[in-house]
This record gives sequence, structure tokens and C-alpha cells, in this order.
Amino acid sequence: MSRVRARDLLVFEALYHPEGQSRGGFLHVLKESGLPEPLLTATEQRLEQRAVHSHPAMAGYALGHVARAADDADLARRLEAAASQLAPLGGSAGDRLFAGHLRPTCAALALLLSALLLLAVSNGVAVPSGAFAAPGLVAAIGLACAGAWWRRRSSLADDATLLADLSEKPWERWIAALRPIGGVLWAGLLLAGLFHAISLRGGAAAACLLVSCGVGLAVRRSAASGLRRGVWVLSIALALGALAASLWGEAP
Amino acid sequence: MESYALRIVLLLALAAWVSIDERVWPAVQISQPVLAGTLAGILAGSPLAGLTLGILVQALWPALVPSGGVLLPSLGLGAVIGGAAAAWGQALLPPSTMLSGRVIVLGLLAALTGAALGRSSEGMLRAKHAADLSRAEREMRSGSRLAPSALRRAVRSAVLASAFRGWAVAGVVLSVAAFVCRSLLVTGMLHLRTPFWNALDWAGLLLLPISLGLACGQALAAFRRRRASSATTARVGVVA
Repeated sequence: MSRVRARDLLVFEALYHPEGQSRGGFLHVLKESGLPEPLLTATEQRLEQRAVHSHPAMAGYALGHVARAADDADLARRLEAAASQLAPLGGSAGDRLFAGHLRPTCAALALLLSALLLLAVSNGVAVPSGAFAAPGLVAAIGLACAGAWWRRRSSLADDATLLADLSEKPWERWIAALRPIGGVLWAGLLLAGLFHAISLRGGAAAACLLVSCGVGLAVRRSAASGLRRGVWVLSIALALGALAASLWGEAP
Repeated sequence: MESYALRIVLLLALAAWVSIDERVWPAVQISQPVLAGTLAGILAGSPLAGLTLGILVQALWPALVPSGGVLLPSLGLGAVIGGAAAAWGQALLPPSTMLSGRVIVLGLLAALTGAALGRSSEGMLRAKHAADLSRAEREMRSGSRLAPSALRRAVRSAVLASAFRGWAVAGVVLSVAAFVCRSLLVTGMLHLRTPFWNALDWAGLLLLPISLGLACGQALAAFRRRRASSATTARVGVVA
């Protein structure tokens, strides 16, 4: 029986295009999983002119389901379930988890660390140049580890685990845990920006940027669409205004 | 001079890596704007300016959802370009200057341009992916000698094309940013530190024609593909 490897999911979206979406990646991962040639060709023929889309970290659920096919009739049944149900489910769960919660939380963490770093620099603390990369590294490592964990989990899932995950939706637990963490981090970012703006005249522009972006994004995530857009645009305008104001505040 | 050449080569390599990381191989997450901008700033001589640009780009778009195959701005690429442009500008100022609003504006403009160019070039790449995939599928169906590795070759080609996209977009926008920096120096709007004058001259004179030539070649190839595709559609219509 063939098995999907987590590392092959890395290139799941390599051949992404609007018509077939991730069909190329789907076929590639199945081929690398060791699916026998007659079944692979049958998969390719059944998916011809069809769009398949999922999230790279969650695609293992759909791909593993197909890779466990025993014969042609089993393949047809599994392929239909994977392409029409499991792959879209993985896509929506992955987008919601990664783009909707994990990425903003990691971004907030990185921005908070960056704000603290800027505060230290403004206060005359000598910071080695490599340390400036630390906030970004923290965010990147957090996202990369989460991606690797879900790639491994989804690719190793057998039929019983798949059924259990479909009913329990473990990604919802992640989302529930991330929501308050993100809120605390954004609040911390706002406080750091405000403190910076009050205490340091020279760094006021950068602080205004952080504060206005933070306020705009916080409202953007919670309020209704009209207000949300308005406040976000206002926040960006404030940020750019702060930048423009900084132009007059320094010698050429 | 060798040091500047090395820095520019490393910057373009970083842009290529970020471009691969953004869409093709989202594993390392080096395309996070805070990280990408800071690394570009370190390479270009001012980590603080790079970090600030990275913060700006990350804060403006913290959570883009790629739903429905929508073309998103290339934030990582934009952060590399903006971070490098801002760091170049900042490095021209006296060392005591904390952070210049002018170079941040310059970097932000470069970042937005780079993100927009990255977005439009992604559209061209998707057309190429469609052509590569359909060729691979044809080979698989025909059972030709090349069939077993057809998909692997298509994936490899996609990775290389993505790296080339990052390299070309960064090359073009950074060359323009270098000329803008040079103009600001000539008009006295930024202080001049001699070594970077040479670096900017070198970057502008060498990179602009090469990058523009390669980008034009890529655009021409995409135009030919589109024309061939519409001719095929017209033929199919006549037959129908």
C-alpha cells in the first residue's frame, strides 16, 4: 500500500493555476507516494479537466485517502470523496487556521518583539545587527513548525484517524487557543506603541504607525464590513500622515 | 567593489528564495515580511531600516487569505525590495541619524511596487504552470518514454520559474530604487557617503539592462503563449 510523505506536500501548490487549481500537485504527491502506475493513470484520467484544491498542510487527508486505494473500483470511490469533500474541507480548515489565525498571531508576536527592539535601540541600547532578525525568525519558526506538524499529522492519518479528525475537528481547538493569545499580543503591541509615542519624541512616527496599524487591524477583525473598512482606511491614512509628518522633523 | 557585488548577489538570491517560499514551497516561511525585510536590511547595510519596512508591510497585510485562487500581492518580495531600498537610503545618511522618514517612504514605495509586480508576474507564472501541467498530463496519457518523470520535471520547472520571478522583479525594482537614491543624492536631499555612490552606480548600470532584458523576454514569451492559446481557441470555434 502506498503512503503519502509529508515532505512531498511541500510542493503541493507548485503547479497551481486557476483552472485545475492544485491538480498538478495532487497527481505529483500521489505519484511520489508510490501509487501503482495503472491506478495513477486512472486517477489522472478521472481528474482530467477537474479542479482540485486543498491547503498544503491539510492535503494529506485527501491524498492519503486516495493513496490507500486497493483496486480500480475502490479508487473511483475514494477519489470522488477526496476531490469533492476531503480536499475542500482541508482547504477551508487550513485557510482558516493558517491564514485566519496562526499567521496574524505570529505577525503580532513578531511586531511586538520588533517594537520592544526599536524601544531598546531608541534608548541607546547597543543591539547587534543579527538580533534584528529575531522577531521575524520567531514568527517564521512558529509558522513553519505548525505547518510541519499538520503536514505530518494529515499525511500519516489512516482511515480511522481520518474519521476521528473529521468528527472532532482538532484544528478548531488550535483556533480556540490562538484567539485569546492573538488578542493579548495585539493589545501588548498597542501598549508598547503608546508607551513609545509618549516617551520618545524621535520615534513618534514609528510608534504612530504601530498604534494606528494595530487599531485598524483590531477593528478590522471584529467590526462590521462598512465600519471595518472605514477605520482601516483611516488607520492607514494616519500611518502615512505620521510618516509624512516625520519628513519635516529631521535634518536632510 | 567585491563586497557590494556580493551584497547585491545575496540580495537577489534572497529575493529568489523568498519568491519560491511564497507560493511554491511554503515551508521555511522566510517570506514573512518582518523576516524578509530585516534580512534584506542586514545585507544592504541597515538592519533597522529593513526591520522597519518589514514591520510596515507585515502590519498592513497580516492575514491575506488566498481563497478562490485570487492573486495576492507578493508581500515577502515587496519586503525584501523595500527593506533593501530603505537600508541603502539609510546607509547614505550620517551614522548618528536614527531613522529617516524619507528613506522609509522610499522603501515603502519600492515595497508596494515590488509587491504589485510580484502579483502580476504570479499571473504569468500560473499560465506557465497550466501549460507545463497539460504537457505532463499528455505525456502520461501517451505513455511516452519521458512519462515517468513528466510531473517531477513540471514541478522542478515551476520552482525555477518562481526563483527567476523573484530575481527579476527584485532586480528591476532595486535598480530603479538605486537610480532614485542617486537622484536624491545629486539634488542634495540625502547625504552622500562615497562607497555607496559606487555601489549604486554599479547596481544601476549593470542590473537594470540585464533585469529589464530578462523581464521583457519573459513578458514576450507570455504574450506568445497567450496568442497561441487564443489562436487555438479560435480554431476550435471554427471546427465547432
